[in-house]
Amino acid sequence: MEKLYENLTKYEKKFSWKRRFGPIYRLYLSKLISTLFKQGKSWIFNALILLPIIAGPIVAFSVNYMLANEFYSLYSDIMFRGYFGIIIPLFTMYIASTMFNDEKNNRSITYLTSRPIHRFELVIIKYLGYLTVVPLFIIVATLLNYLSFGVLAGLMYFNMALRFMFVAFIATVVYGAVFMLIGLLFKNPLWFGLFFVFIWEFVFASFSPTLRSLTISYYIKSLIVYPINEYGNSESPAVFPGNYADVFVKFGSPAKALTFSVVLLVVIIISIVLSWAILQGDRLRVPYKAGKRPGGWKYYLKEIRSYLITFGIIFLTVGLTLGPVVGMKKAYYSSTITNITILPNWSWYTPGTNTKPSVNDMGWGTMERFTVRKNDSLRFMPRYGYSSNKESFQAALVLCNESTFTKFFESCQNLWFLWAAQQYQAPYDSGLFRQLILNYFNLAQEFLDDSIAKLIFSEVPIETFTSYDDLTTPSISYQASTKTTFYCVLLIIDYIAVPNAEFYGYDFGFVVDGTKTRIGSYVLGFVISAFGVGLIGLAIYSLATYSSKIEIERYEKKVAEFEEKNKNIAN
Amino acid sequence: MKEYFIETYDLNKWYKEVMALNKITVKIDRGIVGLLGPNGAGKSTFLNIATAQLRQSSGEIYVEGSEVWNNPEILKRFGFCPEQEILFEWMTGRKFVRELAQISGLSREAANKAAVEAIKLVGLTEVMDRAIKGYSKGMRQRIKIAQAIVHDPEILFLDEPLQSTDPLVRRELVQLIQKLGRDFGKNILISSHILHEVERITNKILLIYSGRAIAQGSISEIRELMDKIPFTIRIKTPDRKRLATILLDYDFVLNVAPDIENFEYINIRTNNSNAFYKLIQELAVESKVKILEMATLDAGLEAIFDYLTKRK
Repeated sequence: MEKLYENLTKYEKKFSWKRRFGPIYRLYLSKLISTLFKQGKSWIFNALILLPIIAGPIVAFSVNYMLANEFYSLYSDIMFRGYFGIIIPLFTMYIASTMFNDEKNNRSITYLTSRPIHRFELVIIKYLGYLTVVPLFIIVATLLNYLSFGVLAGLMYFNMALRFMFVAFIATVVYGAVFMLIGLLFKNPLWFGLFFVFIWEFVFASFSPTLRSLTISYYIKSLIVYPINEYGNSESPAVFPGNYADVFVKFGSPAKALTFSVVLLVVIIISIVLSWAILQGDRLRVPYKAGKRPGGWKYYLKEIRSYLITFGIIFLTVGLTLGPVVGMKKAYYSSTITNITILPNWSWYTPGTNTKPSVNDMGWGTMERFTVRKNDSLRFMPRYGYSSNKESFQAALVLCNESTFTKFFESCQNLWFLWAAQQYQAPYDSGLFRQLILNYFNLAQEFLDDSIAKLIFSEVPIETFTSYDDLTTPSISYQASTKTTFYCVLLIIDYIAVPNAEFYGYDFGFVVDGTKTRIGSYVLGFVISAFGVGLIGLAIYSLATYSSKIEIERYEKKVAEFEEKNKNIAN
Repeated sequence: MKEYFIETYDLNKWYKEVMALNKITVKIDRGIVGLLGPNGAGKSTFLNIATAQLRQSSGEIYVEGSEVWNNPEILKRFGFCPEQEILFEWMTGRKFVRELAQISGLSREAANKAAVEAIKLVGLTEVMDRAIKGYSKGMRQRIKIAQAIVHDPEILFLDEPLQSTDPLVRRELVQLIQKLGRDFGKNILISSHILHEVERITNKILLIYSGRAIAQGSISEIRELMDKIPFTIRIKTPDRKRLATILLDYDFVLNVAPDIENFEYINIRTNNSNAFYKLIQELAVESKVKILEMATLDAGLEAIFDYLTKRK
């Protein structure tokens, strides 16, 4: 026995992260694989992820005849709503939240934490282990799903499957970090996980844009439909006219590329740092008489180091986005697309009701309201247009104040209201319509005379978009001397009325060159990011200055105190 | 300044409202030390705090003069055999010990050899290539000890290392722990709730009872204390009256009373067991008192704890 033990004493020990990394990584890898494939209950979740495989043939058999693009549009729907909305979050929840949770609950983590490991390493290596196995598993599952769908439909749209595989990878990476944190936060993370997946990610997301932008699935879905071109259409292979992804593009207003890449990255970093903080037992509360301890505030800084880093990153990201990213943009751009349609047989507005027609009901144009601060300038220009009868119209861009616009708008409404009431009884060719148009032209002329600035044009750049910065295009520019609300109106001022419908389509842009807004967001961004840098700086400061020396000092002091006390008692 | 094995100053630990450790201030010398206390006394909490698995609510603890919390430097020298039975179930015993040895600084080849040797030391060579899932309680206990000693640590914390092992294995483990302490100069803190188990390994003990350190010293000191505790002895004898009258003449016999349940017995309360046992021997030989049966009723560890806590 003695000899056997003597052998053990002979081995040389060397402590380096390289030596630790291998065994911990292998350990977690083997654990994940055994959880994924060897545990019975995991197969419930594995089956879940392969559920679309069954859906493919079912869909294929249940429809009699379907065009390929309709079939793949359905596939896109199933993946968009079901796979990325519920299945991937559920699956990653099960795997990632048990990563630390079961070890913590049955305390087998002790075998690792009682060894010379920084707990930060545990979090990182565990996450790396997760990244090695689970995304691969998900990618393969996604490919299988595509194959099961595609095998009966000629395996078309492979680029869509590639897109789904890529997004599934990203989703797994992000959800993995989040659920790892949740697994550490709760003793039984399954309940919170289910709430998070079904209520937060799925239900809340449909309530309001603000709530939606707080869910992870919003950014994941933005990733599916990215990129979106200038016309507001998606170029993603997963988008088919009218399917869920298309609806998401039109009404879900997907996040911009920069936003989702930053948000997802920040979510991962914060989850990891907080996991570290929790695993390490860092305390956020201010210790009693912290300043008076031998370690002093340095000791407290050490205690909250991980939180400092977390909040530092949050503030820095928010600050940078607000300042340099928003502030550096020269101006605020916006564009509105409108279709002006004048129909001789008035079908958009039902006469006989007491409600007066809206701008769209009347069809003479459109209006946008802008509040401009002092010294900010506003530019207002047609960017793109088409008309069904190019030679026969004249349009105008008008900048006016509220009272002018209200006066014009109400007169128009009355005119249309009256006309609609009469036209309801009289036939179309009674000349009433022509009278209406003539009256309208008079009103428009009056309106132009009262306006602040106007631009009359009969030709618009057709089929090519004018850039916002193109100063050669005719446009209205105005610099506000005080904070004002402007009404920017586009209206038809003259055309030849024919019995057929007339279409005029416009895209017109606004450029608000806001010095004040810019300076404001710069300053705010600077302050916030400076705060973030400060927090990170404090963390680095505590890393650099706090050493065990202080602890030893403290220890010696304690011992001396104790000895003194004992002496007194002895005396 | 003398460096102790473990020092604590006003060490407190609460679990919400339950106080697990209550102002423990102790200095433990180097060597093998037994941490003794009944179930739920706070032994495991103490060990977990000493090995940085738990963080104290307040107070200080130093192992060989260093703080333990968040200090991987000191963990390099630790070997810990924790209380929990669940290990990394999917691994084989050999792999389990090997990977942990490697984390503790051994190279891959060395860890491989060391794991086999450590497993041989605890006598599990036959089952080392089986998954831990299938291990019995005793095997788990032994593989836990193997992982604690595989990297030859200077400081060992063993939480109830002998529980659920059979007598044969127990003897071997006791020998092993003794060897480690005496021949290899390790500092070992070993917890148990069974006095005679600890007694076989060491004579230095620390007594913990309901979260408080109530006594510290050598076993003989504790034994002495034990002797002073009044305790009850039950004797079955045909001549009860005669024995009672003789016994009551001695001042270390506090009380003699017939047993309520069975009148064939008498209960004798004494505060000096050694003297009493000597006296009984003499009486049996000289006065020819027939003694058919004799048993102590409450001389266990619990009685000591009870006595010590009341004394405090």
